[in-house]
Amino acid sequence: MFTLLADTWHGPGPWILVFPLFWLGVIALAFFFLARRGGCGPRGRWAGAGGRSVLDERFARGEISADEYRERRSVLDEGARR
Amino acid sequence: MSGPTPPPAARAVRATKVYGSGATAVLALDEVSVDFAAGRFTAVMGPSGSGKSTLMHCVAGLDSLTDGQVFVGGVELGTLPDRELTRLRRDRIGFVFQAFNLVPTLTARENIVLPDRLAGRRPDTGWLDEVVGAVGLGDRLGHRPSELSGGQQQRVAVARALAGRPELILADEPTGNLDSHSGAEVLELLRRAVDDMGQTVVMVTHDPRAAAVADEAVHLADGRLDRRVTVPEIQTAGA
Repeated sequence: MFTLLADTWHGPGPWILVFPLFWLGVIALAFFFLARRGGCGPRGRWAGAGGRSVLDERFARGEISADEYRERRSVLDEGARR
Repeated sequence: MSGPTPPPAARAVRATKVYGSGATAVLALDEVSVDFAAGRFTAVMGPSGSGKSTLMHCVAGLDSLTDGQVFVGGVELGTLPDRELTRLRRDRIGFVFQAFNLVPTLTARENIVLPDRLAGRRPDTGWLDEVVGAVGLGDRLGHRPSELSGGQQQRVAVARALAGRPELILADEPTGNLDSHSGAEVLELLRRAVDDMGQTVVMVTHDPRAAAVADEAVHLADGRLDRRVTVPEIQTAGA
């Protein structure tokens, strides 16, 4: 049985390289999406502050009403706590 | 634009605004042409539904006209892409609203410098001191809006509008949420902004007592320019 396998098994072909490349790709994509969502670390908090200052500015210029401001702000604050 | 008179701070030329379409269309502005002179205090008056708020929103660049043109400092708003319009609003116009629109988590002083900070400008400290002094809040500058009276909050909002030294200050019913005493203080501050600081103020109001503080009043009715009067106690006619 072992001799039979040894006879037909000539080691991996060049296609074996596909596996590490595939996993590298998956990890890179995962990092990319996490970073975009601002889901981890100080970057996420920074994104929240940026969103708030845009909101503050739009409110100060009357582009959004007091009600809209409160509503959107609470959504941002919720996002920052998560 | 001709002769020795300076160009207006803002002007509307045959400004027309239609909301909706077909049978439900509402004509909010009907070919309104008006100049808002630089260095003057103009009140825009009229009953609700007269188009005064629509005119204000179009001059502020918050709403676009159906037909006609609006200029602020010689720039026609209708031709500007959104990004340019936002920059113009940020750099050239100061806003005061009925609901104050102060950021609740910031102190009075932080609210006043907020537009400068967000625009990445270094506030002119001499000017800022003058503005803050005129507001007369003293040690309450470190308080948050919720710890201030309505009149104090609106004075902070006026100071915020003044801080960036805009070409035009638009005030939308600035005394609408205030008792008469607080309202008078806010109006006095706007008056001083024009007289002492050389600012241009356009104020929408339905209150004749508020309009009496202005140099002149533009009356709208049913979306049309009804009449334009100078306030005789302050300004003699024919200027």
